Amino acid sequence: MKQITLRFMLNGKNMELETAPNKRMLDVLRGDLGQTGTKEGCAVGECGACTVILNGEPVASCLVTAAQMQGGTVLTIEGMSETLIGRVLQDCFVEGDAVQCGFCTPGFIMSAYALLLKDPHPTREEIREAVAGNICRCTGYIPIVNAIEQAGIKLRA
Amino acid sequence: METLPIGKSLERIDARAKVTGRAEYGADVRLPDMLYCKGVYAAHPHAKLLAVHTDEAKRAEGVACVVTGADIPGEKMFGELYVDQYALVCDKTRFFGDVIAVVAAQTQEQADAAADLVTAEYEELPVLATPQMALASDIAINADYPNNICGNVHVRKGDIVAGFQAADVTVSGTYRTGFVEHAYIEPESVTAIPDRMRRELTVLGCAQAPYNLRLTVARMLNIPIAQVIVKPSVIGGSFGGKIESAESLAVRAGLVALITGRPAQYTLTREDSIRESYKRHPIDFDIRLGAKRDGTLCAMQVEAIGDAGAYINMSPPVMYKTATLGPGPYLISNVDYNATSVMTNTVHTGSMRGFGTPQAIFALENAMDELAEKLHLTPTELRRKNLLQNGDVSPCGHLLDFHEVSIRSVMEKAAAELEFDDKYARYTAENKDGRRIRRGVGIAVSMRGASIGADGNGFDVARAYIEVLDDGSVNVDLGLTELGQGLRTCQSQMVAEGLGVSFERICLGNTDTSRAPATGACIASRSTLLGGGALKDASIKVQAIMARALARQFGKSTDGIVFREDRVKFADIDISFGEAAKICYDLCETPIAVGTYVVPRLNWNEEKGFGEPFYTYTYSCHAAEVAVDLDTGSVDVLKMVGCHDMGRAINPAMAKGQIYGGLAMAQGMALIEDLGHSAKTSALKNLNFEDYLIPTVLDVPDCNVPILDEHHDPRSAFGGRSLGEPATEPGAGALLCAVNHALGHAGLIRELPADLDRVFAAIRSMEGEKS
Repeated sequence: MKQITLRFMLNGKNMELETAPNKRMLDVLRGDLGQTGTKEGCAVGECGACTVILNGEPVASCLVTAAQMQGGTVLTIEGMSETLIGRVLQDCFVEGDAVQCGFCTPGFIMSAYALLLKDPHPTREEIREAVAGNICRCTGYIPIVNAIEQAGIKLRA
Repeated sequence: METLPIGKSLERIDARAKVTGRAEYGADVRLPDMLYCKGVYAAHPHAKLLAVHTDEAKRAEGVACVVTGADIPGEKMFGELYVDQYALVCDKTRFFGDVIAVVAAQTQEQADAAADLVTAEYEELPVLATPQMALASDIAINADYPNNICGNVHVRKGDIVAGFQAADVTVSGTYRTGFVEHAYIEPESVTAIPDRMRRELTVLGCAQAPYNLRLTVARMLNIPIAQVIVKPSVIGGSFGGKIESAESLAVRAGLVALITGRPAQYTLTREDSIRESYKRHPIDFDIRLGAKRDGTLCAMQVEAIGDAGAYINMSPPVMYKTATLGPGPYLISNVDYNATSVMTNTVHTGSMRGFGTPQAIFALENAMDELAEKLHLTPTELRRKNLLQNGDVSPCGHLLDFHEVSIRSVMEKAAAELEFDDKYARYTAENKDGRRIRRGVGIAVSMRGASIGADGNGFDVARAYIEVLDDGSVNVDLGLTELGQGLRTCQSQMVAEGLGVSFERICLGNTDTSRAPATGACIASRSTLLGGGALKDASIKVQAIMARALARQFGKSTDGIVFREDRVKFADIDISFGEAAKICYDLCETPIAVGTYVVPRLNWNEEKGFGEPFYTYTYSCHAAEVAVDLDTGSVDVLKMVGCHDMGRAINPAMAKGQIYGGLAMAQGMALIEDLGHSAKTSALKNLNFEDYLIPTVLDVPDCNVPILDEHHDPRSAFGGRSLGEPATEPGAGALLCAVNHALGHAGLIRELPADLDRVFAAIRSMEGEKS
């Protein structure tokens, strides 16, 4: 397949690379760009480990193609420390014991980031719905929901 | 005020790396010139493998090599206790997850494409897809086990015949459980890196048991053990699942690396992970209980048959735990518990959090509810009548006079949090009014033996290395792996308390088998007890070395020296730990020690199935509340409570984290998780998360409660013992007790998972009986 010149913004930086248009966004990030913070858990969009933000919306990057990234703005876990919401979420996940094995964590933080970006006052139920596409086998979810709720409180303070 | 490191909810040492994406998991490893691997699976689950044709794949674009079982230079099989598993099949396939060839190429896509070009010739054999088929067949899956039975443990106490004769009431029935997938979110990945100077391999990736992996690679690839160096990457969950599964990948990738001289990475897709990795044992239980009219238990007889699948794996020790812990935390004089594992051509079964007990407790606790119903007692009344107390003898014959037997307090705390007694009465009454959504509550108790038990008499050991540096920092090399449970933070807390220094001094590096002494693995909920013992031993040795140096330096006796809260005190001397460390180096002393802890030999009579099966126990109770919709069969879990006495909680927040996670895992096993095993072809239908459903945040109640009921264990160096497995152990039992309570009939549903179809069918049969 013919390669395309893919241009997009990744965590605030302009990116340009030659790649196949049908390559998965996940492989562009992890393979072409070596940004391995985004994880692959199922490759069918069920586990949420590969969640990133594309143009303000959380997406499963295993289901998005390179061509769909063209001209877009992408945020990944690697860029979270440079955002206020991301930093607060990271702190709350650490302090709230919302991290165990950590493999699902980047995906959860990205889903939570997308929620808090749009709605700084989410209810617990809204938080639960926002991360319903992310699965975790370690934590039993409650500490994660607590952490996101706490992040909302801190961001409003 | 004292500020000791244990008992504090300190921040986990790996958390920052995990929330920033910096943590490097197996598949994140990137090396120059690295090859990517793909396995070719058997087309038939039971067949003689006559030939594997790899020429076409070898010619495909980007392919560096294709290996088969014939290329393995050393032993052809591996296994922790029973050596019978192929990393690459040599003569006969035994299940659909067997790998017959591995293709290695420049890119994953090229490897995947070339793998499709490998063909093979088979002579098909009959497929023994269930234990019943395997027991009835004269064909042996493994010639060494002609009747296909690969493990049996028979616990006996008292006189079972007399016990039932003395009973006023008996209940009996058959309970069944299904295969359960570990469902760690990280699929397995390992990378094998050949050394440029000598025949040496470094293996990175998801190794739960790095020393076992080292031994397997050494034996199969003919390399001295010292020249296989295993450095586990950050591991994305395991729950017992990344032991043998990681070993077979390491052997295959290691073979590619040795042949090509290039690093080789082998990452499984989710489908391949579910296809080839071992599962939780499905077990059938024929159970019979007898009691006096007042509820006093007088006899328990259980015949359990577990499906071992294609390889023996951990089946015999799993049956050991089923038989020795399956009788529960009850005072009972007459027990006959016989657990047998049978080989089949289905996916093999092995270690999974709980290790043969969640199934057994599900069966026993639901049978207990049947008994309660017959005796017109509530579930808690029957249990209160029979739970163990200090000084009682366990169902296997163990005199419990060495620690607080806290199961009564544990159950009462769980019951109180759920308001069990009140809800049990209320729901029992209100469910009779014809409502279509009924609520129910259930409660289940367990006692869990810490570590391997008498099954591991003589080899249940842990080792740890402690080195005090001249600035007073402490390097610890420990082979017990971080799986997400927080082990390395907790072990750091124990070293800090053992040495009497501040937590900040402790530097617990990543496991590297070339640096940390060989230790029994992080399995069997043993790391707090065993790791703690080894760290305590090493701490005492290091302190003795330091005391010797200080005696020389100050010319004073160090008798009664105290290391505490970062100070070292003896005679009239009171100096900081850092000063003491520097004195050691100034005097050319070496404050380094390896600590060892071995579980004392247990008095267990294997022939008679009686004695001390474990060194110590954790006591647990889960209580659950559900709502069942009679029109759809759907079960809504309203609340779960997990109360555990793990001795001493080293890090209470992390201890609660184990319980939150354990409750959710139990919910999945109880209600939804199903691999879609075919009793005809032995294939698994549900190979990814679109079909194999595990609980999401919307399934798990937001009000689950973990409770710690701590009673420090004098048998543990730092007072703590097992929690990882207990945290999920009684949950499925409690949930099914709750579902059956809602449906108004204890023991109505006796098979897991109690999913929509099964619950709906049970409701139909129940309502059909009435009409």
